[in-house]
Amino acid sequence: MTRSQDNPKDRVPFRSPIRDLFRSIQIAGLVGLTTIAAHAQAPSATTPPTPATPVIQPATPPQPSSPPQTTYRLETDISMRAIPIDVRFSGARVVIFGSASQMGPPPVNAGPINVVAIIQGAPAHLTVRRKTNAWGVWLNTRSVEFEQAPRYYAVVSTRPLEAVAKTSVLAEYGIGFEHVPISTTLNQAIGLGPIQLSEFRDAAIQLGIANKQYVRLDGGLTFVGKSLFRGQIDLPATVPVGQLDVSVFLFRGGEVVARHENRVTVARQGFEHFVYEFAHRQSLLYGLVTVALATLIGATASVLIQLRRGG
Amino acid sequence: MDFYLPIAETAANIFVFIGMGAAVGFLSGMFGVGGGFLITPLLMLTGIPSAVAVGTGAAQVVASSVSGTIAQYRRNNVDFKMGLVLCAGGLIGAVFGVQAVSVLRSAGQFDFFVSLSYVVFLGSIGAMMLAESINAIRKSKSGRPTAKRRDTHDGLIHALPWKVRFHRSKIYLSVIPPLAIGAFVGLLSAIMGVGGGFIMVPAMIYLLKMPTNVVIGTSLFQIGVVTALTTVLHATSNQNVDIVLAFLLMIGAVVGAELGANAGQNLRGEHLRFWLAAIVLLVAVRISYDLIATPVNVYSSSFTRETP
Repeated sequence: MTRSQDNPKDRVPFRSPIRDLFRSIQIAGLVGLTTIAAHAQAPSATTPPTPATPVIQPATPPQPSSPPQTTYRLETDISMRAIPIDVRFSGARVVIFGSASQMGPPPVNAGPINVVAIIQGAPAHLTVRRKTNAWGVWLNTRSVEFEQAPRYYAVVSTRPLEAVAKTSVLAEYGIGFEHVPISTTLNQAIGLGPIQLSEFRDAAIQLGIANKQYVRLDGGLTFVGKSLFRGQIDLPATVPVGQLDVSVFLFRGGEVVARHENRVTVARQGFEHFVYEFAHRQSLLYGLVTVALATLIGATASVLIQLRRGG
Repeated sequence: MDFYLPIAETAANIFVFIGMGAAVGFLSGMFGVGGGFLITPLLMLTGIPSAVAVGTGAAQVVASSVSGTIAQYRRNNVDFKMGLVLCAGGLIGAVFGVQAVSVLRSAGQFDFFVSLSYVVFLGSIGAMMLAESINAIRKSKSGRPTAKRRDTHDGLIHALPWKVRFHRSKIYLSVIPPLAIGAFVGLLSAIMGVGGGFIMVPAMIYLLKMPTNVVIGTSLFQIGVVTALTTVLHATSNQNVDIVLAFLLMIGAVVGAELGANAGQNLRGEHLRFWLAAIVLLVAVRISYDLIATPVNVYSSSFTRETP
């Protein structure tokens, strides 16, 4: 698929039902918060690997005895769990929202709280080619095959990523364009030094950005009150069909203290689903139908114009 | 008004594509070219994935050639006998063309080869036609009737066996030259993803010495048959034919083709050839510019849906 621009002008307006949904879930989220506060000791099922170590407190030396730990809870949801692709689909606006709360004694000098969300489409095989000038003409002379590159990648954060955490931390969680999981096997990169390989990788990301398939929104998430946050993102019409994984990270003082996963399914509906399945499952018949349609349209137009002219 | 295209997997404004179809259809009805060499690059410009542009372009050409063929047939401008001989050659050529495509793809220079073929064939044919038509226009302006060259001895071509009388074209000719031309065009159209009208039309005019009007009708007929086959092949092997996009283009194209055929009717043969030559040369210049000019981005990337 050649990379290209889509039209940003034509977007679906933010539909009020979604807003209503968001409101209702936001209220539900608040109710959920109070429930959490009541069951502060209950083990969290929704926060997988929380770092076992306490939050780093640079100002104070490590305590020999184990004080009551501060635990963080992050709960998030998406305004649309399923995005239907119908004939009028020209992109979708999704709202990411959630609550971040902490339990236990408030840590001293723990640093700022930040939230980062990553929306990622299923990975696919990506070929990046480079042209060089040979004998006056530009030829594709080098290419690198990346076996795994996300077909969509958006990173939305409360602050610029550089201010959220160190590169090493961001790299660990695949946050930011520098750490998008784009991989290649060694035999594909034979004869390419690491610098050249990273040039191809950077080019892939730049093309993705130009194409709105790779998106970064610093400040796209904002806190609404003390623990609630929200942000929105416009998915382009070219959003890959299938599953989008939404990972939300809660940072405190530059470390991930909680994480929550969500999933959005982009699926073809009705006519779109029918045509796609037809083209892929009964391709011969589909081809014949296309030719028949072409012949019919061609003949009909000819007859109609003849009738009009003939009177 | 946006519509989500099921195979191209993007939303598109339907009027853009109807208009695009109409513009290309106009030219195709006027000059007897399928317009594949115009529609495919245009679709890519609007952001349709290149594979889908090639497959869908072929489907669109079917509609405009059917409409164009009927319009020309009404004016008794179609030599079906000649068309079928060309088609037979075309099928042979297409089989070899498909083989050539896989060889070039594995060599990794397929795109370059396609661009180069466009430049070489469009450039040389366009230049040749332009020179000839200007010459003819000048002659007709000076008042001298153009010499009928149809019966001159073209030694080799007329020495060939299996001569057949093509009544509509008013020529008595061996089937070997049209078969060879058909095969050559079939080969190129498989490689370049076009119907090959821009090669077929000059070949019929200059090599087979057919009358320009009959050439256009016959070329449209042959293109319709070849692109119908190409569409089915694309649909079965690559699933890259977008029926919705094709439909939009067809609606525009059939109207454009009819208008073009009428406009062409009022033009003299040499003027028709002049304008076709000009368009062909323009496309050749545009493609060579892309080959020579420093690209905005030396990198390009493409996703393949299925991981091999």
